[in-house]
Amino acid sequence: MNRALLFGVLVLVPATALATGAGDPEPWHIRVPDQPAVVIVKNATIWTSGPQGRLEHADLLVEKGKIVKVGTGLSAPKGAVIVDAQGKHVTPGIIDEHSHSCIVGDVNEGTHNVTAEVRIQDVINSEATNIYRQLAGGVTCANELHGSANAIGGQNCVIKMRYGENPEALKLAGAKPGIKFALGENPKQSNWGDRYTQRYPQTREGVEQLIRERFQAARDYKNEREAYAKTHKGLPPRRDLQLDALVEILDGKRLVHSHAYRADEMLMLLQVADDFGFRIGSFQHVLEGYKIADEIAKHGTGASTFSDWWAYKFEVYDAIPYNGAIMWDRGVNVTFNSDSDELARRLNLEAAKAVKYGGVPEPEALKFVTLNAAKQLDVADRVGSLEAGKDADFAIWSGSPLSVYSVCEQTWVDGRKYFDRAEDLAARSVFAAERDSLIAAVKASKKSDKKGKTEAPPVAAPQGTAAAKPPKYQTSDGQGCMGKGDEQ
Amino acid sequence: MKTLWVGFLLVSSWPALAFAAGTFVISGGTVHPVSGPEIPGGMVVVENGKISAVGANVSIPAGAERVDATGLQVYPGMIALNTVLGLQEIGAVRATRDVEEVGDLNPNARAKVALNADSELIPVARANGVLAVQSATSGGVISGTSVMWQLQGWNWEQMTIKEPAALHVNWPTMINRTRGWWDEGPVKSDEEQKKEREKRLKAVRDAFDNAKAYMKAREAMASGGPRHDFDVRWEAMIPALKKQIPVFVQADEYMQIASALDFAKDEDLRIVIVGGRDAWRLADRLSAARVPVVYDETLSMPRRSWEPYDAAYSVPGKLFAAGVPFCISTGTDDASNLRNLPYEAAMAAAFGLPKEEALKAVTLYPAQILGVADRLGSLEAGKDATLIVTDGDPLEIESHVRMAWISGEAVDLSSRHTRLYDKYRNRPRVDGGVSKLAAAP
Repeated sequence: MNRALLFGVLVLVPATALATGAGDPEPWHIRVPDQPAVVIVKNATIWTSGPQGRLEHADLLVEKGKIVKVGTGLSAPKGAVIVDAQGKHVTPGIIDEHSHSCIVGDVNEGTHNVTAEVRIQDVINSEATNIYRQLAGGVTCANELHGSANAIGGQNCVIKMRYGENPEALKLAGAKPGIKFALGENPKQSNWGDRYTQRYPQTREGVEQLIRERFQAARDYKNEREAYAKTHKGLPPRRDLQLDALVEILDGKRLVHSHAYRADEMLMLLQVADDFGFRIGSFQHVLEGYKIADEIAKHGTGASTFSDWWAYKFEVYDAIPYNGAIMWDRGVNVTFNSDSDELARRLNLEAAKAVKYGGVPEPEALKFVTLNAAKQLDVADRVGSLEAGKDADFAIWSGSPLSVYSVCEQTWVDGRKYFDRAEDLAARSVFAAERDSLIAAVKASKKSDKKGKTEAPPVAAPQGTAAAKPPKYQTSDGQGCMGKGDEQ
Repeated sequence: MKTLWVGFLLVSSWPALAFAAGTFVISGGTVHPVSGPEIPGGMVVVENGKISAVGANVSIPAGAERVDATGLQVYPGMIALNTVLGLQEIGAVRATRDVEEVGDLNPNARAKVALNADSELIPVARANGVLAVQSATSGGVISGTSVMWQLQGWNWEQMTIKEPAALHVNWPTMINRTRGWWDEGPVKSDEEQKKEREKRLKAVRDAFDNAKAYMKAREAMASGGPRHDFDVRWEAMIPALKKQIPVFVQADEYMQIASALDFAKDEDLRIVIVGGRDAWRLADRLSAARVPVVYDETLSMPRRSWEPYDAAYSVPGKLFAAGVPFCISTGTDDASNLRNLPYEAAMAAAFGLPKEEALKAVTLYPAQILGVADRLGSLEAGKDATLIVTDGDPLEIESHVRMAWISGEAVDLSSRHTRLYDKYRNRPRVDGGVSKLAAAP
């Protein structure tokens, strides 16, 4: 194995890697939790991320998966499922603005410098163990992005963590279509290894010209198609899926989410967008965004950054943990993202770093992983805050979501409880017993094979199964199944 | 007001404290010695770079400068073991990496001679309270020896606390690998992998056998026996063979750890398991053998799909419950975010490790594991005055380090990050508005 390449892809190009974390696409027959008609969460500190701010001793009323009201002293309607959250904190479900956690196979179509025709929505893994593990960190929504190998990458897909549903059902209806772009070291292959020196572009200058050339081609293609639609003279222009996606950008129907680190390259893309008359939806990583915060704010571009990663490659040597705070201070819509199956599980704590570095007020910092992400994805009418009419996506925490000692206790999506720590803990011994009995059976069968017998002993029922049945909402995935590549 | 005052103190006292190993007393805050209960309104007296007294009522030497920590908290500086700080600046830039030497056997490679005292990563770690680290090379099978050093000084000679600190061994993987997405072709067959593993295990055994034979021959030569040539490699292993320093064995898998434990018992070595992802599965063995674990996988995914989601978070709690000596660290991939060491400990605390143990896991325990607890790890008379003053629990993200000293010298808490922050925070605004941001502490 080329160690340098591994390092390059794994560590330096996090956006291009980590497809393996998505796990096996085999069905585990995961049960979708029920949606109670009415749910009321009582007596919590509620961080609404909306106009109501942070409320003490407050209640959250949910009907048929939608939030009806947030306030104090709400009465529980008859038949409501009551969640006593005395002493707990409730937040909107966390939204990860940059994820590759639920993608089957490769994250990059890395063979070509422009792959606008490629769609992540075609490779969503709705049964990735990552979904359950991220639900356990309060995550309810994620922006599944193509990698950063190409200057113009593939189309993204915004999903909800509806664990156990089919891939189609994970998609967040109404989310504005988007596409991944990438600037800097990744598309110019700086850290791909010594063999990768031939693909155009190899410089930031080349990246700009490639993008401009493609938009020019898209504009020409659009004009040709429109002219043909009017006149129907001659041959119709050949349909081009790649240019179709770029035309949607020109028409303001598709958001550009561009991987970028340095100030120079971001200014470049803003200028390209201005010249072609569209708006960049978000810069991803945007680690030098603090140097051009005013320019980003003026363009109306969102900024989705890491809280504090730096120095893993040269273009991030000037990354600082105050980045989010400076951009926020100058009117940029800022989010913190994970770009990591692991980090996604504790984005609430990443938000706390905006308080530490720069002194962003706590409720504003929490918006970095809730409402602001919804705005960047153009789905703030559905998710991102606890407001009447929005989807009932929320997490219940043992303490302040910004405290390192707090744990996520429950996560709800569309008014369905997808994660419950108490139930998860209770189920562990049951799954362990089941696993042990299966292993014992396999071992016994191997022994009997050696003796020339063909009959395997029956699988023993795990001890205590009757007394401690796996609870209703618990899934067997993540607990009782062996995945590909598992250590024994 | 308090913040302003502390800022003033830093500016005004820096020249005085920096080079004169002065005498001062930190008072007015709550002192957390870590080795004992917290002392509200406690004092820490520092003389000649060492702590001379800690307590609620201590005598203050004449002429001692007073550092007011009213409303603040005093803790020992935090310690990270098995890092690459000073040896690697930017992971992707090969010229800035001095981490892996060529070949399998480099016991004579010494990390200390490559420490860059002006690495931009150092002030960043310091600013969040990490004041001493062990840095190690990690290539091949026997990687070399590490150095324990403090994060302030003019050069590595002055910054070294202990060297050699440990001999580092990468235990061969005991598991056959299947093809990963990064592999350009098929991986080697199970049979080939088995052969490679046996070759590597033999390399470890042979190296220790050869070094032992060498040590005997040299001792015999010293007492009049036949001449035996000096060998830089085997010579470098002698402190480990004599158990003067521990052997740090990088081992994450169950089988690696079990195999390393067997080896240490057979060879009578003092080992420390580093990495330790599966250490909790062998907790009873580790506890019985008193083999410490430097656990650096807290913020990791579960390795197996059937493991609970919090498998990695909960390992320190399990090691503690089983009585395994342990500490928490961050791993050797990168040292740029050593500042997040306290949050690794905090995550362990959120998932089963008592809070006070989490703090010890990044202060006293690493000092004990490396044999430098006579100088570091807690606030006790006689130890180095390497300590921090914070405005809250140092394991909480929202807390800040307000002041710090290393061997009694005040630490400048600015860094590349605060310099860039100040520069761009103060860039004239196009909106003519007023910044809502706080100055860096």
